[in-house]
Amino acid sequence: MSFVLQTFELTKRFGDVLAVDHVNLRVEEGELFGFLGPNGAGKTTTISMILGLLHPTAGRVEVLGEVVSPTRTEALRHVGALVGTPGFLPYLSGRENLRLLARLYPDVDDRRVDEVLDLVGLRDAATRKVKGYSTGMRQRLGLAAALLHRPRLLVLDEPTSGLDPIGMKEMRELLRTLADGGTTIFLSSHLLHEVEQICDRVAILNRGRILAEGEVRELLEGKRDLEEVFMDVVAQG
Amino acid sequence: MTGHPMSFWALVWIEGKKLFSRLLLWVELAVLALLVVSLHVAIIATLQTGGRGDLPPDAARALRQMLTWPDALNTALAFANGGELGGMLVAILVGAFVAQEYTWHTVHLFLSRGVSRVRFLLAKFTVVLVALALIVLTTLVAGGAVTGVYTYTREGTLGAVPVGTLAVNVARVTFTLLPYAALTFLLAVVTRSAMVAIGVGLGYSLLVENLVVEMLSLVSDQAARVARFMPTMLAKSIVQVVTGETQMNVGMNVAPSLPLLSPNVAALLLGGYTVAFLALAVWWFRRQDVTV
Repeated sequence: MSFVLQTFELTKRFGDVLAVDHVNLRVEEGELFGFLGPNGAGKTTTISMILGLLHPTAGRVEVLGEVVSPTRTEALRHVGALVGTPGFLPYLSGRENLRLLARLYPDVDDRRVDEVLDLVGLRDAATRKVKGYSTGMRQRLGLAAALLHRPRLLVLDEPTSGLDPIGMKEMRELLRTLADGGTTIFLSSHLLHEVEQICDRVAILNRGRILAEGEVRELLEGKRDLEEVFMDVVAQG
Repeated sequence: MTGHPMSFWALVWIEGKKLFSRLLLWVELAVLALLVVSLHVAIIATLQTGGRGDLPPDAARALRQMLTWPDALNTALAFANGGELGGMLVAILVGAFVAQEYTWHTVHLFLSRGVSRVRFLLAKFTVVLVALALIVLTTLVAGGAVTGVYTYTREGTLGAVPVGTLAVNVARVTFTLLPYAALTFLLAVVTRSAMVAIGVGLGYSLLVENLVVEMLSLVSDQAARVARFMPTMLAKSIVQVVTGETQMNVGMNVAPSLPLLSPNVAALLLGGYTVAFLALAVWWFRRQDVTV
């Protein structure tokens, strides 16, 4: 079995607060993996360690079989990420920001930049400065940036936040299409309905610990929906 | 695993695009040019009018010499040195350039793509070097333009310009800016705040450094010797080579006339400060948690 992303006893402590507590995750190639948890559960902290932004207090992350840490980031070339509010240079246009990033990858050209702008529906606003973008537009540009280099693993933290219902639906469809095309997606969200609709497997995190993990259909056995599963698990944990 | 290592020069190109697309850099250069032109015009006006009677003939002659090409070109360069206007402009530019990347979350954007932290910072500093040279060149062009007109009006010719010497002097003055750039760089990485980095950087170059030099020189001869090791005094030693002992002090520099270290030792120490500050910035950045 080929794992694109694995964490081993991943732990992060901020002073007295144990934000992530011995988290073990296995994400297989081509699957759409949901990472669920209430606000403050430790999802973003876990993702920040996966992306080499935070130093784990203990444990390790492996992407495509290579260890990732803030000082070992080679494997992240194959990762596309959207975490928190996507960061861009406000004084450049959306297209200029993407062209800047494209410089990091010899095989990404201007045509690919326009392709991803089309994909996220930002072609018409591509020449506008990012400082004039709405939250939803920034989110779309963040996704375009994440997709730019055709990554093997997409790590998305609340990708539909700031999007209107139509945008959310389009995002779900896009993620499903990408997963069907072979891209592995690690999707963090607190929108249970969204995760239930598109994910193959999920892990539920609360207070830094994984409380449940498995295929969505298995977890749903005998339950009305994922919300019920989630509430039960969190109440027990 | 397949994949191309990210080229350092691609990162330098990216950082260059980030810096040179910013309005801040061009506004700073415009303000600097305006200041240099104004100062030169004021000195020339004083010399032409009131100064004629008040200045001793030797001093007036020396001042005229300083404002006449080719000496005037080196005098103009001195305005940009680290202990004077240059240090202030560098603190503002570098503080904003580095710290705002945290505010805008573009640090996260690049690091999460596998860009090495060391390369990221070094590419940034490489681009800062180009900006420092631009600051120095701006004073040369602005001061050179005013004094060029003055020279031509007085002499009827601009005379021969020692281009080689001038190029070396541009490099010398740029070198005096390095510790100020590296210090602000370090402050920006540690505090992640443009306001703090610029504030402390400016406070150091405008106030702290000069105060320390003043105080040390008042304490004793022994203490005054220690003051020679401060970046402002080291910069002064280099600038004396550039201007040939005839430096005009501008800005807030109030450094007293202490015996200076030799230019070679000064250059070595300025390089040492730069490397030390930069190494500290890299060390800190490597162990820093970049929170979302």
